[in-house]
Amino acid sequence: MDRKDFFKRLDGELDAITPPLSETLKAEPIVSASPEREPVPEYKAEPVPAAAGAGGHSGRFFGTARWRVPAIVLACVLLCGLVLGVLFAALPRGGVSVLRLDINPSVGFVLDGSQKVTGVISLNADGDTVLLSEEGFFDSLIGTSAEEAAIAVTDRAAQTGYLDVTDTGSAEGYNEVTLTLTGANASAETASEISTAITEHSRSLGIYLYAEAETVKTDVSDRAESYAEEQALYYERIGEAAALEAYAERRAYDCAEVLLADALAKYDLYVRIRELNGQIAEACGGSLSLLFDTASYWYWRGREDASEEVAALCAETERTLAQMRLLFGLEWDSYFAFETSYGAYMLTVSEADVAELRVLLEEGIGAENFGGTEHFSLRLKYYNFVGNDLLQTIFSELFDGVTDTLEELFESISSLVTSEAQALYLRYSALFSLPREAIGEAEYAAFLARIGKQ
Amino acid sequence: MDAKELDALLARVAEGDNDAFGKFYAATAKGVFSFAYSYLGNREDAEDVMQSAYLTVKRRAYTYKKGTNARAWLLQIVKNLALDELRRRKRRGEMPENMPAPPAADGAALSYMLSSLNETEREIVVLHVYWGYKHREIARLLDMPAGTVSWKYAAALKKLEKFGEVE
Repeated sequence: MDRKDFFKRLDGELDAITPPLSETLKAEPIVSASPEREPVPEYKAEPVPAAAGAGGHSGRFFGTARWRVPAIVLACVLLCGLVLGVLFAALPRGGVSVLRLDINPSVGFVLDGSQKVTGVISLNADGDTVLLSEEGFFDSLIGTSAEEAAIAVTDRAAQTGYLDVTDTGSAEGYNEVTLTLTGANASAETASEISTAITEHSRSLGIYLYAEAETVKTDVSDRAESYAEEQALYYERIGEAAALEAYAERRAYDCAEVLLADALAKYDLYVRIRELNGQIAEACGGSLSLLFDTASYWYWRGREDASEEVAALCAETERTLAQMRLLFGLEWDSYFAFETSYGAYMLTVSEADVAELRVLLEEGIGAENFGGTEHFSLRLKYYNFVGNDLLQTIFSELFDGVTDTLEELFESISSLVTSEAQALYLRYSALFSLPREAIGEAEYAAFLARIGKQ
Repeated sequence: MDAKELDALLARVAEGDNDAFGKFYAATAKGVFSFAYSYLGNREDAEDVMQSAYLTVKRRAYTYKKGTNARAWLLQIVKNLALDELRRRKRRGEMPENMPAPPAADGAALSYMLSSLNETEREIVVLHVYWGYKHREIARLLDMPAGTVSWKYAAALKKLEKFGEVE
């Protein structure tokens, strides 16, 4: 049931059972002033007998005028020392800085003088997905070191599908991360250390990644503040109605892109598995048959009499099938089962639509190519391909202007982002956790050479 | 009713205006009832707590400082009374570790909300939906990070959307 319908129904139920104002309660007098209290008897101090020495104090230390002045001076010095010590400890030693991590999900960290994270902000929709992928993940970054936070977010980007963990160091489409450390005292050394830490960590997990560090020496006190404001906006969705509407629209388009990329990934895996089986059939001189399966991966996998070419194609098919299983929960135990599933999937998809949607994703989804009545048929193709009802409702409400309140629209978008983030994390973290061999120095150097970075 | 109107109404109650109390009751009763219900899980106890809460409002109205926060003041009273009731139940050994789903007599949606959401999720949903609190304000009220509130709210909505499937 749609949440609006649910709350409408809940509201009706509560209306029916919420008790009306009772007569007893109505008759109960309001106490509008503080009740009178018993007067407290005035305290009269007992006369203190005068001490043997000068002055009226009876304490041992302060009892004599001789010690009073040095004691007060000493107390003042100790107090000042304590206050200065506390202030010194609280002062940021290197000043505030901002670390921006661009993987494609973009995330910003506000760092204090000791390079500890004091604020985290998602800088785009993919950043939302990464930060909202698991309860508490966002909050767990606060208080960690810049290095730990950068590694945690990089890992999380891999676990939500933004880093390709299956890439074997290819020259095209490799994983790239840009780190920008900005601050009056931003040090190139610190930025480089963080970048090296990310690279080393990824290498140890068998993930090819190239990280580049940049430093911008400028005061970021203002930016740190604007980050905090953006964070407030992110959570509360408050502000001017027009700005909110624009923000909601942009957020919805960003979500639409994430969902389309995911749907295309599934389509590509289906097509690739079929292509690979075609190649296996060709290499072994047979032909694919649904009932007498003697030419596909399912027949040739693990067979010792398979040629080198067929064995290599089978290995690649196995990797692709593993991705399909981990990402979309689909697996088949025969070519017949795969072909049936493929046929059913392709019944609802046309190649021309997919090509059109691929162009849409490359251009980036926005009002100019997705909104308005002139793009209605493209939107229909999109909904058909992506199949996300909540997103369809959001767009319908945006384009038809039927949203009851902006707050509700934001709730829907927030819910969409969170549910997608959770789904992606569940799927891609399985792929991430597959055992991989660490990348050796020589292999990594060869990768750097391939991508022209050495 | 927005926070300012509620504050003005409570300020009039504090001055002894019984008509203002009637309006204050009408504006807040459903929110108070749902908030108490979200803690206690049954109608009778929620009604008792609600009654005690409004009695407290009448008896302690003079302690309310105009311009502070009427809804927070009222909700704190309700919460304290609800927690007292839960403590009483615990002492009497009536409260198991996980509160059982209440009978559906009060309404299927209400019963579903109580059985499918945990206490924190219920509290967040009621504060947001019936009291209009923003996530950051709820975070302050419940003393938890704003990110956690957002996450829990979204998770709660996801569960509530399944209502039709299990009805």
